[in-house]
Amino acid sequence: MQRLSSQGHAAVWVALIVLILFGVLRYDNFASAYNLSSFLGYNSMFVVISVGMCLVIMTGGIDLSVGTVAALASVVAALLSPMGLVVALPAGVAAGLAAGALNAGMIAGLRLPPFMATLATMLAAKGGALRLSNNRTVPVDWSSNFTWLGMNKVANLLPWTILVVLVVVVVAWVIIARTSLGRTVLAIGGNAEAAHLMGLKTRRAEVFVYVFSGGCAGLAGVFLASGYGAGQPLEGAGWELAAIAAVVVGGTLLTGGMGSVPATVAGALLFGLVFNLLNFENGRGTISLSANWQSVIRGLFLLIVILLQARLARPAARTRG
Amino acid sequence: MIRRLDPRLAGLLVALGVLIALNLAMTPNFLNMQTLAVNVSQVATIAIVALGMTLVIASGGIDLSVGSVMAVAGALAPIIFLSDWALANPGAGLAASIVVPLLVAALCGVFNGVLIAILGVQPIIATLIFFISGRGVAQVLTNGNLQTFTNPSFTWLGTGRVLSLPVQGWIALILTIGLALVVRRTIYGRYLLSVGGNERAAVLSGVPVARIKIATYVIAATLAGLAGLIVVAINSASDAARIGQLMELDAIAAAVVGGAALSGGRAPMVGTLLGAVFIQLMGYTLIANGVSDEMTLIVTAAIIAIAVWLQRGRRQ
Repeated sequence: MQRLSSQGHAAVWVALIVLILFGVLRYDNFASAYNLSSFLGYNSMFVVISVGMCLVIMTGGIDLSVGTVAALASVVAALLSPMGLVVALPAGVAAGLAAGALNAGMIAGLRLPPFMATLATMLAAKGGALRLSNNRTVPVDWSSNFTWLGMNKVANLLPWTILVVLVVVVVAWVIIARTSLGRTVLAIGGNAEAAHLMGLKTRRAEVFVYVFSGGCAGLAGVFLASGYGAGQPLEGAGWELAAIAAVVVGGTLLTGGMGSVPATVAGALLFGLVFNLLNFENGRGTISLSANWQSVIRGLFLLIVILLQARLARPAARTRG
Repeated sequence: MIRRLDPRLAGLLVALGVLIALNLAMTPNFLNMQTLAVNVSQVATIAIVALGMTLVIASGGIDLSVGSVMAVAGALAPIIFLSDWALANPGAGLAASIVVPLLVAALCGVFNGVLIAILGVQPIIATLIFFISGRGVAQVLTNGNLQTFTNPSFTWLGTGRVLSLPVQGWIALILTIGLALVVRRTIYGRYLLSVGGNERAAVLSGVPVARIKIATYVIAATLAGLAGLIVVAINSASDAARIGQLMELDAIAAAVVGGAALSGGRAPMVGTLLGAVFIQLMGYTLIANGVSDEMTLIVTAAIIAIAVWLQRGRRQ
């Protein structure tokens, strides 16, 4: 099992490095500060929701609500933006945490299947976002310091958002790799019944992952509002699937029980990079792929990764049986 | 044959009855043909997709790609009947514009089914691939343009009336009855339920699990293709970016409210139709009584959660 997971993880790092080298060698401005900072700024939202999703999937669950929860959080943060970052940031994250708590209550409390419970929260969060925003985009208050988070960079290179995400990633990584809570998360995914019978606090771990994922979605929503100057109730459609794809590309099996936070980050960056490279290739004028092709290529990319994983996972599955 | 009514179905029927009674009391102009026709025409496509989704769910899977399949089928139909060949041969052109998109949709189902049944990819992930790329394919086919057309014989699929009710309502009803019989009376139906109930046992007792699963995804995709054609026919226009968006969620919701269990092994086709009708009527009731769209979303969310919770209670 260990060997399999490290193989899965190695693939995503190799792919990431190959694509980066390809970009650096082929395009003049690929390694520029501008490209790096806009790439990281845009993808910080996807990385953070993918990390939350990774922990949920490690338990064998799923969180379909992250996209609309991020939209809800962006509306909450934008509405409170006149009071500054000090209020709007925690409020947006709190909205995400509340949605996560709702998921946790339905899943760990009422024992509803995660797919359906988070589907319900997905709809409810969209309804909530539309209600709070009166069906409109909510402009942020530019005179407060709220947009500072999403628009400023350290040394003109690293966006503050990616540094915040880095902290979240490290926290998630340490929790999974070093704490009993993290081991319980993985044990639930391996075999929930056995984990429970062994006396592990499975319910606490389940509550944790859904609340954590909600908080990550809330943070992504704050980034969205702060970086693009508006709370956007209709944004976030399909984010949950992008996050799931990033987790899968990172080598985490949807059945749970294994997985890696850093590899998920690599998976999310890999997806962003495919887009980034396509834009550069379009810019060179050698090919001209419309935006329509991008989703086709993203799907093909996911297909290739999954086929590779299916080959990797096969022998292991046989020896286990 | 007189059988005891399934308690889940009975519960849903009671809920529907209550909803209709409430509407009779509260909603002005509820009891006229216009209201009925509007609701039937809106619910039919969801019901048709949900029937396929119920079969997939019964096999223990899920199909996220139905909306994208709708978009592909919906994009193909106008391309075919607006082509020079079809304009020269209107009859054959019309037939081709229905048959070819359905075949392509079925091929999408083969793709999903092979990934899941042969390569062992999890259904959510396998169907996620076409969910992501299928809509892109539809947009590439149409260059991202809105295709508008006038073709009365094709638009009949979405705007025609039979016995003063929309034709797609009849299609949904016939498909429901047909598939209910297939589930109950055919070997495929038995095998399907056994695969979803306990896959390992099904394999060991010689059920051709892979073939059954592939067939199930093919049926689901073909039904989604049909729904895509109907949506295009209703609008006399094909917008690849929008056809079937969020349809996978509507269909899953209808299936679950109708009594399908995500763990598989149950394929209540009539329940699915009633589940779709219930969600539709609930939305209509709220909107007709001045409740806003966004509150309707929240109520739908609550209904889904309650429906799943009720099923869980019965299983224990």
